[in-house]
This record gives sequence, structure tokens and C-alpha cells, in this order.
Amino acid sequence: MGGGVLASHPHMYLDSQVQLNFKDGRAVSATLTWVLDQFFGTSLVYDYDRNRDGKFSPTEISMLEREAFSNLKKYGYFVLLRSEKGRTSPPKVRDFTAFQNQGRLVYKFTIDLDPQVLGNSFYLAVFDTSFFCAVNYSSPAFSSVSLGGPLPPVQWSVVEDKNFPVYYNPKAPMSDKREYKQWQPGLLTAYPKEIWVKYGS
Amino acid sequence: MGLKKWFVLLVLALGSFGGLASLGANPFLGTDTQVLPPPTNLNQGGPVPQFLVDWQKGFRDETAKLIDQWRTDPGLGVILGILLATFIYGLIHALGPGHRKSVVFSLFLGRQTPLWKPLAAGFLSAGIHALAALVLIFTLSLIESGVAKVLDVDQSSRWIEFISALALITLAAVLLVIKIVSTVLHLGHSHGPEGNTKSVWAVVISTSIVPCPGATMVLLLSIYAGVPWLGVLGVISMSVGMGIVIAAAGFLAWAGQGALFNRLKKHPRRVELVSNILEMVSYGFLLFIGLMLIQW
Repeated sequence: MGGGVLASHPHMYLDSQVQLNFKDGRAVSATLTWVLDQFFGTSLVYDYDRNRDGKFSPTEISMLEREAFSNLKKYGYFVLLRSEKGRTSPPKVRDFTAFQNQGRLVYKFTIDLDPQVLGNSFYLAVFDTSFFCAVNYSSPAFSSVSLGGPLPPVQWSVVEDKNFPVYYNPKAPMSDKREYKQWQPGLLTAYPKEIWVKYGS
Repeated sequence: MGLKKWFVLLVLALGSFGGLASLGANPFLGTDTQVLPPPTNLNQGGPVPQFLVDWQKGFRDETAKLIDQWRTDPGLGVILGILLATFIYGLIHALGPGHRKSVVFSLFLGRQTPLWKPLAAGFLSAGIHALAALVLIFTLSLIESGVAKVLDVDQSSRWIEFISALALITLAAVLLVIKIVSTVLHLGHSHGPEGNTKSVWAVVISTSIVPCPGATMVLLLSIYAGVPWLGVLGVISMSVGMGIVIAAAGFLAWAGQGALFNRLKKHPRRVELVSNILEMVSYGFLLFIGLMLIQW
């Protein structure tokens, strides 16, 4: 009865694509592009594309971000970053935008990365520990781009590492962001699919 | 059904009953200015095979596509497609954690009832669950003089879920106390092996009034497409699918107590004792479910 050994029992879905941004040969940020499922996405388009022109104005994007995205801060924006130094989630995002593409609502935003903490080999997962949302990785799940300087060689793959589960307390309030390094009674277990990245020589 | 076979089925089904999953609130939605009740257990509970997740997504996407298709290519095929897709989606979705299977199971564990009652309870639960979505969206749309906003639907659902959990706690506590007192004091009034059936329906109704998120989405999508009646048909079909699964939980309980009481039938006093104990256990379990739903 315990844990996400298998998968979530979702009420919505999203497809996620990660673009790693390099500057001077180091990964400095990641831009995530999420395509929301048709049900939820259509509801948001209906509610926030007030003039029904198929596009979101800056005002509409601002409202969308405030009412239908900013709450994800409590969930670390569904992002789990893992390196030798442990697992973290981004405290904030920037450059949020939204648009409609072939009838689907797309969110795009950027998280800043600290190369000193992550190093040149780390894992990034997009995963909802509340299990409300099922996340799939798009095909391809990953891309990389240089914002300045040469783009280093990048290796990547999508992995599920049973040695690094996410333990979480399903009864904890949303403000509880403790990272459990070991299983304890009452905790559930999940194995998010992670994008492993290694760059440089 | 023999007791051993029943027990094996129960163990297999426990994964489906899963944790004490509430419906949960959409983590995307919310602002700092919203007035929200104490959070309910957002976690969806136990494991679900990936293929079930993929199937659910497939049937959801198919439903959305068909609703959209109605605008350009209306026809009986589209209607039947929506009915089939939503029925199967309801079936698969209810197999996952939650959806009051534990409640229905617990209610009929300690009662000797005719078979139709646990089955009816399952379909009643699913029906109310879906009807609640209809009523909520209709009411909010009236208040907002337009289609209900998804943020308002989500916030209202959180309040309804909180109130439903409080109702479950209150009902279960009252029923448990009454049962304990009447059993200990051997009060003359007895409902017999069938127990207090009015309490069964009260618990089923009060715990099922939480709007089904899947149903709200089908309804909203059909309203956006200008065919709300199609959404209503889809929701009815979805609730039939969910009802089958929840009724199966009730059947499991009915079969189990049937097997148990069959063994005890030569000892009428033991039947009464076991029946009383099981009824108390069922109310206690319901109280536990209710308390676990709310993050105090």
C-alpha cells in the first residue's frame, strides 16, 4: 500500500522538456517547457485568454502566472535537482511565459542553476510528489544551448535510479520541505525518472 | 465464496484501496489571497501501475478529441465514442487509490445485508460524486454569470472535501459511540445483523459529495465547446464505470462477511457478538479514514 514504487494516480498530465543553458562552458540555468493536458489546459485558456484571440497578452500571462502557476513554489516547481551534494528544488523561477500551440497550453520558465553546487554531472527530475499530476518527458526530453561561449559536449539520458528514491511524508503540510535521506515509518517512496546530464571533458 | 478465497481477494484488492487518498487539490491553482480550509491529504496514496496511468491519459485525450470533433463532425459515432471513453476512464480511474472504496468496504464488512445494498452503495457513491461536479459547476456558473472558472471550481472543491471529511468524522464518531454504548448496555433496540442501514446511506452520501475532478473537467470542456449535454452524458457514463469498481468493493465486503457468518451460523450468539464487533470496527475505521484526510 505504500509508496510510488509504481506511478501516480493523477488527475492531470503534463509533458516536460528541459533545455540546459550554458554560458562560458558551464550550465547556468535550465528552461523548462511544459505542455499541459488538454482538459486542464483548455480550462485555463478559456479563463485567461479573455479576448479569445488565441494569444496571451502580458496582463493575461501575469494573471495566469499568479493564479495558475505561482502556487507550484510550494512544490519546488516540481523540479528535483540531485548532485553529490544532495537533492534540492529551485526556490524561484524567472521569465515565465505561456502560449497556445495547436490547441494545447504551454508553460515556459527558467530556473537558475549553481554550477558550484551541481558540478558538471547532475540529475534533474520533473516530478509531482503530491501525485496529482503525472509528468511525462517529451521526445526529446533534453536539449542544450549556449548563451555565450562554446557549447561543451553534453551527454544525457533519462534514468530511474532505485538507489535514490524520494521519501516524502504524505501527511506533512505543504510548507514541510524536509528532505528525508532514509525511509522512516509513515513515509512513502517514489522513484522519479531523472534526466542525467554530464558535460565537458 | 470461501473465507480463504475471500481473504486472498482482499489482500489483492488492498493495493487498489490504496492509502487514505483524498481527491487532492490541483497544485497549480491557488493564490496567497485565497481563503482555504485546512489542507487535506494531498497525496494520492498507493502505487498504480504505469500502464494504468497511460491508459487513463489515453482515454482522457480521446474524450477531449471527441468533444472537439463534435463541433465539426457531429454524429452518433462521436457520442458512442465519448460514452465508451469516459466509461473506461471512470473504470480505470476508480481502480486507483481513493474514490471511497475503503468507505464502502468498511460499511458492509460487519453487516449481513442483501447483495443489492453494497452494490447500490457503490453506484450511489459514484453517482453522487459525479452529480456533485454537475451541481458545483452549474452553481458557480450561475453566480459568476458565465462559465465557472477552474480556480473557483478548485477552491470550492477543497471546501467541500473538508466539509465532507468533517461529516465523515462526526458521523463515524457518533455511530461508534452509539454502537459501543448499546452493545455494552445490551440495550433492547437492535438493528440485528444488518445493523443500522440508515447510517450506511448517510455515510455514503456525506463522503461522496466531493466533486469528481475528472467529471468537472469533462463538463467544463463540453461547455467550452458549446455542447454541455455531451459532457453530462460523459459524466453519467464515467460514473457508471466508477460505480462498478466501488460496488465491487462493497461486494468484497459482503462476500467476506457472508463467508464468515456462514461458518458461525450454528452459533447464533457468536453471530450477534461478531456482528457487533465488526460494526464497531467498521465505524472505527471510518473515523480513522476521516481523521487521516485532514492535515490538522
